[in-house]
Amino acid sequence: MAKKKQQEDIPSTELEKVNTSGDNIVNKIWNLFSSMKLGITLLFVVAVTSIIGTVWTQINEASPTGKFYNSKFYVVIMAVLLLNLLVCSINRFKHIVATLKGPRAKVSETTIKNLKYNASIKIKGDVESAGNIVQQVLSQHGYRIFTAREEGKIFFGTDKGRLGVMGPYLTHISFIIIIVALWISFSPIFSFQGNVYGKVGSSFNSVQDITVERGQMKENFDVKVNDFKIIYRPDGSVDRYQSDLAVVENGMEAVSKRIIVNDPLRYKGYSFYQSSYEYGLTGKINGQPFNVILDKNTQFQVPNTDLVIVPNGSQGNQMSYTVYKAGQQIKQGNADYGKPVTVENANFQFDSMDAYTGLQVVKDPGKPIVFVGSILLVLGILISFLLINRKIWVIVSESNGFAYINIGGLTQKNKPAFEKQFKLISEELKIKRGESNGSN
Amino acid sequence: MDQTSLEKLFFTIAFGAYFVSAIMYIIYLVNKNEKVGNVASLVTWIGLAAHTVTAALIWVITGHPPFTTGYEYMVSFTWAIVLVYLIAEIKYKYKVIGVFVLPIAWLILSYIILFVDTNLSAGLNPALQSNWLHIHVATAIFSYSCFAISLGVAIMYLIKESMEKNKSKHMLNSRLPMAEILDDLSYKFIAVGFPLLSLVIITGAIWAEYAWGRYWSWDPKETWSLITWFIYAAYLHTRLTYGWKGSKAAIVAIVGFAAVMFTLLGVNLLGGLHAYGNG
Repeated sequence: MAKKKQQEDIPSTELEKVNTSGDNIVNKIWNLFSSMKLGITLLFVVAVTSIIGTVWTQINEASPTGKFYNSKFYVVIMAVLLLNLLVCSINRFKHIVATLKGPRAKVSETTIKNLKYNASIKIKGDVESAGNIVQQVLSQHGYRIFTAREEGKIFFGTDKGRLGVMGPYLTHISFIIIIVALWISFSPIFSFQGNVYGKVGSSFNSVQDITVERGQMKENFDVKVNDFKIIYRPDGSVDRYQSDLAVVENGMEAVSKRIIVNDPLRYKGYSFYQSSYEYGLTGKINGQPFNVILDKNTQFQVPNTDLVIVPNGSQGNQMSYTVYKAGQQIKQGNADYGKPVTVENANFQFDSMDAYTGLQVVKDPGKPIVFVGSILLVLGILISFLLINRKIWVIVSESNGFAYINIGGLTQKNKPAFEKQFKLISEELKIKRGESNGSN
Repeated sequence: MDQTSLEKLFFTIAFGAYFVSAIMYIIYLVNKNEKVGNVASLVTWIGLAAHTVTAALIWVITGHPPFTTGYEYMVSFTWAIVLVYLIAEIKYKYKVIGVFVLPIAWLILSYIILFVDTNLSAGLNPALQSNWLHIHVATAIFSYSCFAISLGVAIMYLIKESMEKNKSKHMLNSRLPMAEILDDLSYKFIAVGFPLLSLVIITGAIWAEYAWGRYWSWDPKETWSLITWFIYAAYLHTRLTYGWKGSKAAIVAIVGFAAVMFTLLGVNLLGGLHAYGNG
């Protein structure tokens, strides 16, 4: 993984004691799935496939939008991405533990010289006093310090912002969580989706009356629709659609609520959303009963005639109607509900007009999971950008009455800022020499 | 003077100020006079102040944040672009970037004047009456502003890089910041825009859950915001791991912003739940 990075900077294995894997087949497959290359390729593939998806659903209007993204093709890509993230996370785990434990103190002088940021400082004094200065300066800058001594040298391995390594890790884990949650949300095994038109003044049953779109309704209760209203503004636009619902289970009212768009009723994991409404019209034409959903295209062709009856809308306890003959309007009037009207060969009556509230019914156990995943995702991204892991190694040695400080630094992100800090630290090491000489 | 006339007045002041500052930034680019640069910044601040008053008046008149109709959204988006730019100007002191940003801000306002219905109406479609929607759009304007500026800087990078390569004697070559700095700046804006984009998607999902019962519907706009997210995620991964910098990174940044633009405008061609702007 990430060979280039290692070439550019320094073998992390040398600094962190991470084991490298061998070269057998299992390792090769493992390495493929843990590679960032696969991850980036998949990001592009998922992006391109999603683009195709948004166009596809336009061309094939018959297929609902979800279909493409539930297709085997898309699911397989997502599954590979999931596997990639999973293997990556497992692989990185050792690296994370190593980083959290801290850098190794004892590294070779060559290693330090090979670091992008490095400096050699020669100061008067012995190893001990120079060591103290290093300790002081680095801890002032907030570095965590590990030391080792060998052959009269002092080795310092120091780090800062080590929790930063958790950022990408958390982001990847949260992405896995979100993919799993999406799968649960779209799976008919776990989730439920349906719709129902509830007649105002009566009840519907959760098991019998809801039209299932996905999954299975597992709770049995009744929902009473006490009212449905459209509240208009003075300018005639709709301010809100509202329904008064009450859940009745075993003869007892369990919960009641006035729902509006953006504020559903929730009961036993099922949520009822205000999604639409309709009006149902019942009556008879020449003895034939009808029961239809009223909309602006509703019209009745009177059988065996060229008469067409168009209901225009309810006013109080009357229905306003127009009768056409061969396309020509011949009568306009109001009919009392329940009273027959005769126009030429048509004998008709409107019995009732009922409001139905359209409800979307959803149960989605993926929701809390995706919520947790989302929070972790944002947290992970923030940590990735804000907490930056920096490491500095120092070797202090002594010869001919001088102390030599070899210092080298490593970071993956925001290198200009680190460069500044590294220079500052190097400067401080030189300046402190004067102070410590004075005090000694 | 009633509130609506005031709103139009302040809009016009902002429009005029951005025009003047766009010209000033261009003059600054050519004659290198720091005083001209300072005047350009000052005029931009004046424009932003008037712009802020415009947005606030829209809020007062309609009773909701200026986030819903096409007009409201464009006013807010442009406002965020200018604000993010000015903050960056204070922080990084590269006024040359203003040459790319202010004309864009001015052009968007011109577009509003020419093509957009600026009538304000108080009532919101019931689905839009949600605080989550307002948070969703607020994060979106800032996220997309960061991406817009990163795009501008990425284009500057490409210009600068090719000029450096050809050792061009064009005055732009000496006036633009070093290629390395532009590359880093473009990254920084994406580094701010990306967490915000994540929030855009998440708050949008929360709103969708309240409104429709589904936090994710594969609606074209949702999907395109996710596509944008994938592209910028790829940008960050390639940069941090493969060290894709310079022109490669600049091209990914440009592709990313193309996706942003498609999310904002092109998606309307595809229909879906977000097609409110059309009425």
